[in-house]
Amino acid sequence: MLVVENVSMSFGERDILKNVNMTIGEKTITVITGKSGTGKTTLLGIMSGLLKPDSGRVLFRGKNIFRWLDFMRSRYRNKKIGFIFQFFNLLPDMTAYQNIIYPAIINPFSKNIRGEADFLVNYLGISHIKNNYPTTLSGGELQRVAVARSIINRPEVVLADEPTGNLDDATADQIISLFSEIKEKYGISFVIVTHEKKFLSVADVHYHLTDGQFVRMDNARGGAVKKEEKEKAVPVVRKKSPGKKAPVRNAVKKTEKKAVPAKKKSPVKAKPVPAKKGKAKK
Amino acid sequence: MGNDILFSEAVSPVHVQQDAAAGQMHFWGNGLYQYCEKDMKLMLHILMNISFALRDSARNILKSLISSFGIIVLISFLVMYIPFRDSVKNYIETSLFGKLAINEIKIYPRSAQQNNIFTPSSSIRGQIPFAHVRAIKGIKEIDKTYSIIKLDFKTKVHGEMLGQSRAPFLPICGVSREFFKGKLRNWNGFRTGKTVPVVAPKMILELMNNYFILNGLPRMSENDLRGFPLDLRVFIPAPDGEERMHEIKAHLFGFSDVFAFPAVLVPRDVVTSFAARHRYAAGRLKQGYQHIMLYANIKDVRKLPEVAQKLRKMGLVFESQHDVAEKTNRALSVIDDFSFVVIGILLIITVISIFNSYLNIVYTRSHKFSLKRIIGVSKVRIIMGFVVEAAFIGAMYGMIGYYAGKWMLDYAAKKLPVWVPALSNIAIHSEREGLFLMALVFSMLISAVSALIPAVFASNMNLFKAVRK
Repeated sequence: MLVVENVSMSFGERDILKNVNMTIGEKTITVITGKSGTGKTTLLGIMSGLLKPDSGRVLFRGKNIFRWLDFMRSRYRNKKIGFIFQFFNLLPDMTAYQNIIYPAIINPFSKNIRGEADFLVNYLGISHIKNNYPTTLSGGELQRVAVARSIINRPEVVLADEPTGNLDDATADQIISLFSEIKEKYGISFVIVTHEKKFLSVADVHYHLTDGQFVRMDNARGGAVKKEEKEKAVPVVRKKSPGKKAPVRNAVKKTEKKAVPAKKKSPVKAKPVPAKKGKAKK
Repeated sequence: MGNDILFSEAVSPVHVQQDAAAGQMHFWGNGLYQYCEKDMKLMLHILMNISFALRDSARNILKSLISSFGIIVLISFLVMYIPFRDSVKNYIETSLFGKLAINEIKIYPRSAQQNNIFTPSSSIRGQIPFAHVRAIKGIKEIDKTYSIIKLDFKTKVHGEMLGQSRAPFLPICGVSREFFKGKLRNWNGFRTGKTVPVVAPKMILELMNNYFILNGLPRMSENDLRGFPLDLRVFIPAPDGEERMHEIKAHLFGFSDVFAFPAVLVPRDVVTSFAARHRYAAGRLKQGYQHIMLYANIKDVRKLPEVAQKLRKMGLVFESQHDVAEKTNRALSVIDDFSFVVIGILLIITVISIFNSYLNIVYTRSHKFSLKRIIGVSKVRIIMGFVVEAAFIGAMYGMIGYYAGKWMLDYAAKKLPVWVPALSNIAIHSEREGLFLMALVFSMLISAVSALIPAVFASNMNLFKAVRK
């Protein structure tokens, strides 16, 4: 659905992203981890079309979003992408309800905006605060409002930048399970940039960003990291599927195939990674 | 995607009814919603967009209103300047330089040519030789000629008004009746009866009115003075060296802006017959009158250069409509230069002020703009939001400026004769076709263009670029 292909980006002389490849499949939760300053947020900016990479491309349903005009990219952000931030980024001069409906208002093809907004407000349990301004809301409430805003236009992917970074553990757990629920129930994919290990429990795919390059972690649900692949995504795919189809497309299928058996394994039964074996023994 | 339920369950009006029951109004379209039919939803969507845009504008409006205040001053000045300029132009054309038709030229001797643009070019100096007059009449490109002949004696025009008697020296000139055809009302009545009809230049009426105002007397209109009795006094030199005064009874027939030199016009036969009777009075005159000016109609305006060439060969100069317009424009350039400097300064101050204010809005609300971009607001929409808001404020202030300027102009028109009596003849009319529209468009344009660059800055706000920095 959303493919990041050979994306490189540098800030001045500092290379942030080097030939990064990534594929976001439908109805998946992709978690991206990495140290601060490794380019995780930049990658989200590139995926949304707000930052143009120095090289490489981002394909949405096979079309390069950087070939589109600005208004088309804006529509793509509005209709196909949802955003959730660590600091919520709600518009301070609008009520929670107005914040939720705002993306739908600017979408000329939105239907039944208020009906959808009312449903989301009830579904997320924020109907009692919908007429409050963001300054009067708690972190958990703000993040729920942000979640409602991100999905009101029925996006296909939600990009979340440290969504639990500003929340307490209990609220963070609620948000994590909410993401999983939304994904399962409504088929929305999530790309979550986080330091929070808890997200791995719901992640279908886990990438670790280090030295500007992706290392794909094959994690099983339950948080245990089973295997570490040092190879980059695309070279691996190219080796394995040199056929007619595009390597990126194959990579999606590969990811999905790997993800399915992983789901079946319970967190308890998951094999610990070699690095953690030592720790487990201790 | 399997999310149909999520977005179809919500269609139920239950939530809306709950909202309405709780009396919660989120925005003004709320109450309408439950009654909306399917085809009304698009309208509602548009209204909601407008409502949100207005909310945004409402938060900036105070800053914008203060910064755009210069538009009122600018438009007021323009609204005052344009009609005032027109009035002055009209005054100069009619009172100082005289009007000419497009195919009409005014021929006079080179000695009458003036360098000073504010004095009538055709002051009575020198004469056109009789031979030249005949030659001009013979030019094939020229259709008709009307010669203005001056009685070649010392003359005065005497009149009594409001208990005061005045007899200034004024040349008495003659012209045929047809000269006034289409230029003067009742031109056919310009013929000698019991008394001689006299046509004076409009300039004289204005001089008289200036004199009245300075002495605290009311202004006189053309109609008030029509038929006013005058005496034309001609002083004939006698052989003994003294002068004998001949008095001709006359009446004021009217005022004309066709000629603009200090003299009075009487029917041509009055001058020629008087001159014929007294041409040898001093023993030195041959004709008793002189040709001082010729008005000629050209058959084809395109032949004007050829006529000009022939006239130059005779040592004569001429003036066409184009020349009058040029001279008028040269005279007006003084006013224009001053006004353009003032307009320029006001414009720069206004533009900088609006620009600065919007730039300030952009930087203080940069986070909001970048957030909007993330949510999916396009650059064009952000720019349009700014520009439309600025244009709206511009239009509002343009209207205020227009009415302020108009009021000030009307006030000035009333008070100008009191403040500066010499300018009392400048008839200022604040009503001018298209001025309101022009003021409105101009003010909108200034405001919108000033806000354009800040709007572009706002549209380029990017949260991710900020992080990158």
